[in-house]
Amino acid sequence: MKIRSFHYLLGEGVKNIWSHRLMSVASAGVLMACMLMIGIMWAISLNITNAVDMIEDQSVVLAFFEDDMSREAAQATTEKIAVMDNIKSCVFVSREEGLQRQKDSMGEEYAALFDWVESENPLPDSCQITLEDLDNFDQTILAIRSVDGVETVRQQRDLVNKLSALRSMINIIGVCVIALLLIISLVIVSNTIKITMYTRRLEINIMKAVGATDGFIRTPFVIEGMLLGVIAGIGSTGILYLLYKLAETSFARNFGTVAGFVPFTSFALPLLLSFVIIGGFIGSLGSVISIGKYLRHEGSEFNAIT
Amino acid sequence: MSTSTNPMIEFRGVYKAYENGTKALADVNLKINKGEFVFVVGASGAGKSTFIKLIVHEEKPNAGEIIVGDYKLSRLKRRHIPKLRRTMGIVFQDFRLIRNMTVFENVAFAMRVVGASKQDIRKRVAYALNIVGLNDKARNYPDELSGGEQQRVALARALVNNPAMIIADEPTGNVDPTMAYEIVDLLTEINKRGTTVIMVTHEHQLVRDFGHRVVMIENGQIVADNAGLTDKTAEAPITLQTSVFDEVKETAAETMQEPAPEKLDEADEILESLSLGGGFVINQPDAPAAEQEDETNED
Repeated sequence: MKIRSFHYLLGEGVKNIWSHRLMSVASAGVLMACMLMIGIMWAISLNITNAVDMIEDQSVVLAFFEDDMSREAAQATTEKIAVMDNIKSCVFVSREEGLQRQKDSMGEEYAALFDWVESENPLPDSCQITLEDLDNFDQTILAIRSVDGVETVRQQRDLVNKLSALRSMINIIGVCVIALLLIISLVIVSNTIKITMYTRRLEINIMKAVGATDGFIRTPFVIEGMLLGVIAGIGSTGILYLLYKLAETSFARNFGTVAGFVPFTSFALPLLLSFVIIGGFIGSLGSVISIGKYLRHEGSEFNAIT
Repeated sequence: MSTSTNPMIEFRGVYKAYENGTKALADVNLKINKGEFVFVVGASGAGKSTFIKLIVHEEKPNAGEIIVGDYKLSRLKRRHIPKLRRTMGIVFQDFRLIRNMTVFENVAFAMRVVGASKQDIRKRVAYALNIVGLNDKARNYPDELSGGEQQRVALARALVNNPAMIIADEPTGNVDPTMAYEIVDLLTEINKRGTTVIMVTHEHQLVRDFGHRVVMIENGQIVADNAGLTDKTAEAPITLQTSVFDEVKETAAETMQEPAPEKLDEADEILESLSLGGGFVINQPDAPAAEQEDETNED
């Protein structure tokens, strides 16, 4: 194709969006709705994964030191553990802090029950450990256990397993739903474009009659589809932002915190980029599919156009 | 017209049946030479549209060979169809102008498709509009023009790429009678400049009055063709010629089911008696079986 033609066709593609604005709004709207669903799915799965991560981080391994160990020795051992393989963090927890945490977790009514132990705290010093890779959980626990001065290791193997299963399930479901939505949007978009093509069959018909190549006929539609897709991508990111804010606010109202929420800004850019790319891709592919069908089967030059 | 060895369009034993079983053309043999003006006439459903669709390669024949210009259509690949189309200007009955484009833009559209430069477009469009006498309406929209004017715009569009032939499918069908004459006058004018013109019509009066070559299709066959008769159009007494044509038309109409050769013979006899010489030929392939290789269309 000549550059001149391409320049002309680019202009045509842009012009067509405006001159067929109703259909443009329809196509972009459909695409936007699909991408919004993808975005919602994305946000949900991101937040669940994040929550799981948080629980995982908290579902820490607690290593209790021997009762008669000095505080200095306990702290030194903590540092020793911290540099071992597969350890993400290792924080020293004094026996006083440990008791306080215990009390906090019991709630106010029961906290009083602990009052009597204030003077003689039964807890030893400990350290709170999180792991890098949960797949090597067992070996790491064994290694911690064998450290001098460590008396017991409290761990929640089952919870850890359940959480990692949950996370991979969410990921799989997320990917499936997103893939399904992509296919659905492709079908809907190519059908919408087919309708716009139907309204423009006179032009296509004339183009074919005067010897336009398939590429020439296709290009403005593809450009139009791509632009509409990009617009829909930007639009759906915007709408998703508003919805996300709304969800955050109502979460905050109900639970008094937004701690569990992944901030929108942390995934806004990859979201926008993916939406723009997905939108552009689906828009242009939808055009290619529907115009291809039209050019092969329906574009008769001589049958009357009503 | 001398039967030059330079046909613009040639049908050799062409058969066409549609998938729904309609037999549209059967064993059509025809030569149209460069620079000819041919009327294609026949009742609706006779096969005229199929004839045109085959020329522009919108449909492919089931058997036989069609040659258009330098293209053997049985060997024409799908991606080369645009090249074929660029050698012809097509005029439709319903004008097919784009309503939200001005006259100028409508004509220019055909040039944009072939990637012409802006300067060329400006020059050629003005030239084409000048030929059809619509230079002053360049900025108007199709809806602001009369039917005849719209068809002239369509004609300018067909002309603008300087095609070797103009294919006009009932171009006067939607315009009033005076305008119809103007359109055919224009086509004749264009023809005189060397462009081959093939015009499908069912308006017998027009055909009579212009006296070009007439090919008549009935039931998918060419039942009459006065090729060679019309060379001396200017001198030939048009009334005589057309009265013979009417005879043939009537006989063909009476025998819709099957074109009867004897009726055509009668027409020839009438011709003989008018000492004009036999001009109507029953559809007899001049190049029979040899050319019918039953080529399957590659695509």
